[in-house]
Amino acid sequence: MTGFNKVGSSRDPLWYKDAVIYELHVKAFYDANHDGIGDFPGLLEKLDYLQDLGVTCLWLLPFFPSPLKDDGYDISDYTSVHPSYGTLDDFQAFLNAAHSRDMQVMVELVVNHTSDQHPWFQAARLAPPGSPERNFYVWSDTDRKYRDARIIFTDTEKSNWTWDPDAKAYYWHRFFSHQPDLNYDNPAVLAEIIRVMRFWLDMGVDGLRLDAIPYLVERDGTNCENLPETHVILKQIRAAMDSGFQNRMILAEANQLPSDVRPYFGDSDECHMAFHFPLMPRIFMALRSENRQPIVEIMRQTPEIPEACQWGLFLRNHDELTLEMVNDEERDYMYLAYSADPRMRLNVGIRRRLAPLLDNNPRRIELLNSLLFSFPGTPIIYYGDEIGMGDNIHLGDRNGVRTPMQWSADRNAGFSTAAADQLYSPVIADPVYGYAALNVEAQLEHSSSLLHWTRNMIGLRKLFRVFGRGSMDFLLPSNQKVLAYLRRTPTEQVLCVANLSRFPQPVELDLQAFAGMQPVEMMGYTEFPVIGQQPYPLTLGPYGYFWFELQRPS
Amino acid sequence: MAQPSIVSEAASSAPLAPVEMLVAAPNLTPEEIRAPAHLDFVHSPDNLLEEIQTRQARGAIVLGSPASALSGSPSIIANFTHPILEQGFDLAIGRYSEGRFDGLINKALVYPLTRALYGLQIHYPSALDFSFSSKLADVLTVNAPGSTPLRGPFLSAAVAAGLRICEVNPGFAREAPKEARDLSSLLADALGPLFADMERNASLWQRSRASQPVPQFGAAVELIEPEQPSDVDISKLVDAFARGYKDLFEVWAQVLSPRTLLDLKKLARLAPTDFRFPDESWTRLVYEFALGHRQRLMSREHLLRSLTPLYLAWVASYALEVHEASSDVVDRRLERLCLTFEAGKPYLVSRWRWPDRFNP
Repeated sequence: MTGFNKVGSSRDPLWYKDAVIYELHVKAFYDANHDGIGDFPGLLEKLDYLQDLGVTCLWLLPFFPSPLKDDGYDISDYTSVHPSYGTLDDFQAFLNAAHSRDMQVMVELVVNHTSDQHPWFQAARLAPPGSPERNFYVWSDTDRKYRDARIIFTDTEKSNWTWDPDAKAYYWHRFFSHQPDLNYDNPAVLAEIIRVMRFWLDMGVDGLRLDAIPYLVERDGTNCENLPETHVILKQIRAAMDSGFQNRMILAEANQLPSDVRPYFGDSDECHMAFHFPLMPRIFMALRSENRQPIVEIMRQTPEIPEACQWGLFLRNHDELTLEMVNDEERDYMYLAYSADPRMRLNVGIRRRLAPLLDNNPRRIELLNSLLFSFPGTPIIYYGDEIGMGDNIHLGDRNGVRTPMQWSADRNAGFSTAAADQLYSPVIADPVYGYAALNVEAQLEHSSSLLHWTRNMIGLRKLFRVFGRGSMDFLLPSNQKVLAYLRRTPTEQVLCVANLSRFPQPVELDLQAFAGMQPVEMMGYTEFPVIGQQPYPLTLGPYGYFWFELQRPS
Repeated sequence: MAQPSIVSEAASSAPLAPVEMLVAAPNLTPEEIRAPAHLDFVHSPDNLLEEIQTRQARGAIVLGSPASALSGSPSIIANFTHPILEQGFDLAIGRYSEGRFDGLINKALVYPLTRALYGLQIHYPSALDFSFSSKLADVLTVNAPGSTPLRGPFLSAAVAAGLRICEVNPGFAREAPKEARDLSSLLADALGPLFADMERNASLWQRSRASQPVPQFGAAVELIEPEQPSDVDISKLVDAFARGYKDLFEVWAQVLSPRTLLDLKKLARLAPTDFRFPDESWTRLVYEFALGHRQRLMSREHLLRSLTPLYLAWVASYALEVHEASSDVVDRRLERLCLTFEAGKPYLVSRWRWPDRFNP
């Protein structure tokens, strides 16, 4: 039964602006029933760890029934739980436990496509052309419609059309051929999606990540991305959410340039949040080239968004490090810089985890995380990156970055007590990133570990609302290797300075506007010299960074 | 001033008297070294340093150019003795007049690199003709035993010891060696010792900043123009680079930075008419080869030989730029290259001191 204005677990309608989101795959997190696959009871057991880490919102990758040809993004039943991960009751128990720890939960709403095993598609292919069942998907007698639409999974798909011998027609799919696109020109499709959305919101889910929404609608003569009709649909989804549920959130997955993402916020009547995809590769570019320009430039191109809306920031996620939103030269540079081995490349991206991308250098890892936690938006941490997990490029597709969480040096990394060959994926066991040394248990014991550092940084960030809600202005010192920016709200002013270089750097900052204020370094609460009229000199160590509160001198 | 004297080794059986200077000229016979100069001729330049000590000579001259170039040898010898015996220099290196397309390995690599490293504008660091003092000989004997005139670190040893260095126009145009050798071998022979020298003298070359000119002796050098200018067809050079790009990219990727590899990728896309190899890219590339050589990322011989298509790309770019240019423009063009090497030196120093594959 739909609740009228059913309030979410947070009392703050803008909870997502202060959130620290943790992205995880249920199957990869913890196996409670010893079958080699993570599950909801296992995830529930690990909530204390997540609470202790300090994250405030858990984003769960798809856990619905699925043939699992695309790791769950090929859904065959929207309103159930894959038996490998548990039951709806298990999910509800987990959700309640998360809420009792003041953590919100976001789940996927894969709106663009289903599995070809979904009953809707099974019915559609056998239904007569023009029938309501048939029209749930996009069909054509030829494969020549929508020719300007690019292929997204370039490594595996040669066309966005596939012939179905039972339907005797082509069906449209922007992703794998086993993921036929839903037809949003059919109102019945939207009605079903809204029904699915209400199902999960009724259970108490706080957020929904709308997967692949730029591709909802197709029109000939266009590239079939970001079409106006897509926004009509999103407004309806949002309206349906708002009419029945309070303090929920929709996060848009729209891998587009910032100006093309802006419409997905609407006038605060579409999505609450959207990933800032183009920023992410530019952070890596800036680091490797030791030049702030790529970051500054993309932020300059980032439009203002409505007050109640928020960018989602991330360094890595479950997919390849996408290079779709950079130009050819930038893409070439990223490939040369970060994927010398061609096996690391997938589609238009690099399928590696954060630590291996950064050569496992702790300073680089901390520096990039310092940007993640201090840039304007909500940070999203990918599971395992808090301990610097590695990857396995020999596993197919993107599975190399979806290996079991490394909890301890015990067998199977403490993830499962099943036999090793039963695990859904091998654990990382190489000499550098292997679970024997790199695991949560060891890092909890070691106070200088990345885990402790991440926990401390999350804690520090949560003390200052300015990071999630404040403005951002760049200072542009002559030393291009230094990235300096101000974050401000009416009550908080923070100066962040980051050295993108592997060597110490001097910098002089124009802080005249803050003359008389005193920078207080946040981590050690150390007072720095009061700002005067002259350029403010700082020296930063290799990959060093400062977060300063600007205060009146004591 | 005592005159240098010639003594025929074959004729003398008595102990040899101290002499002013010795001369080693592997391509000449004692008879071809004509009067009026009297010098002691050392047949094998390999023993020159020892002979200087034994004969208590004040120095020696090495004439390594082909015999045809040395036909005016008495005056040539005088050109080389004067800076050492009368002006007190310790090393006088030949500086030649030559054409714009002569000595390209020197123009592209040896000169700008050595100039940036040691801070001295020595135009032919590997000149085959030079003279040096007994003081330098002593330095070499101690610091680089086994050095021979044609294989010794004369320049770097002189710089390290703070000795006085100058250039001499020997009075003849530079000739290429008659013996035909493949380009890859020439490059390896030119760069191998230079890179090895860099390892030995890292603490020396990393200290110098901007370069300085050195005193000049002899007539001013000039750009020799051909009697008839010829057309320049760089298509074969560009093709050679394209083939190298295809075949050797993975080898280059082991030593070159992402930024340099990206520059090469862009270069490979250029049509011959637009073929320009930016000085900054070339400089960085040469420095990265030096770093790769030091780090032994692969067989050094293989590394040096893999430079060949890249060098040909530089030659193509240079030829396209200067083939119709005036001599002033050619001079300025080469000077610009040298300045780029100097400006890029901090990059070399930082990467040398902190080898890390995670670099721009």
